[in-house]
Amino acid sequence: MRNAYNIAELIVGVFCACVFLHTFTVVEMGGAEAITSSADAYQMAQDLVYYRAAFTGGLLGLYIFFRFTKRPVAKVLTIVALISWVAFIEDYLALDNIFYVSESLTGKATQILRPVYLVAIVYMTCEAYRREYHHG
Amino acid sequence: MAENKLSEDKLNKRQTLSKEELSALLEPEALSISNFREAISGKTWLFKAGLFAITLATTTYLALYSADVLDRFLSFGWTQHYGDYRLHQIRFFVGFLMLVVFYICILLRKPLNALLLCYAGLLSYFLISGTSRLMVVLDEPNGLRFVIGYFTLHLAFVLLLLLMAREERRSTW
Repeated sequence: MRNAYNIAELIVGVFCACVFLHTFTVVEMGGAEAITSSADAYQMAQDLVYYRAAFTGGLLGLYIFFRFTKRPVAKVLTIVALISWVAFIEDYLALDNIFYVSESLTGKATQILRPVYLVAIVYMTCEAYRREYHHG
Repeated sequence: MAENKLSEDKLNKRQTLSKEELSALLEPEALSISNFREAISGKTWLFKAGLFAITLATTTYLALYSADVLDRFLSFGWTQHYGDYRLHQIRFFVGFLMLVVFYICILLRKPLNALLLCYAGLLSYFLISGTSRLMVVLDEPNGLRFVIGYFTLHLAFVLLLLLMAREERRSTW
């Protein structure tokens, strides 16, 4: 079980690296101008993409800090998982999946990894709760 | 002989559950609104005050939203973008779901600390993304005042949730 948790951590780490890399790539490509899925999306992308990446990155940074200082991580993971799922629903239902540019390699990698990441983060949360609350 | 008598007395004195107690323990917890007063009786007064404030604010929001009073103040009211409107609908639904889940957990007497921290985290995400969006679409100087008001209101909610999470730990259940 410990190995599965470490693999899930690896998936989350790779996904985060992809998101950051993609955010910087989009900035280099000209920011929101690179996102062409719809006119509304063009406007909204610029406002949301950096803040969301920074917020999620901050929370995962908090997780890493808790992990290395051997503090309980279950609650932090729950918050990260909840925000990730809400952001995912917002992207697919409201924003026409605007954050990812299909032409870029980092965009494709992020798209492919996203469902795996969502499953991995939920698994990590459940496993952390099991470890911290049922086994002391 | 005396030793046997002593152990027999001990056996007789051993506390056992009565039939009523046993059936009360085995009975599944009923989800009933009438249990609400009992369910929050173990909470501190600050928690109850926070719960009252959050419920009042949410009910007011629901009423104003239903009466279309809020439309011009929300981001889609400023931008007329369909994406903003959909985003608001999703967040409205998520917020409503959060309140329902919260009340169910109170009635079932489940631990609320983690739930409240999750809500505070999610609301912080709404606060940051919402403020950043408004800062782009609104014009100076009226816009800035509105953004400050929006930010303060949301921040008050986040702080209230964190306060309730702290009070939850102090409560008896």
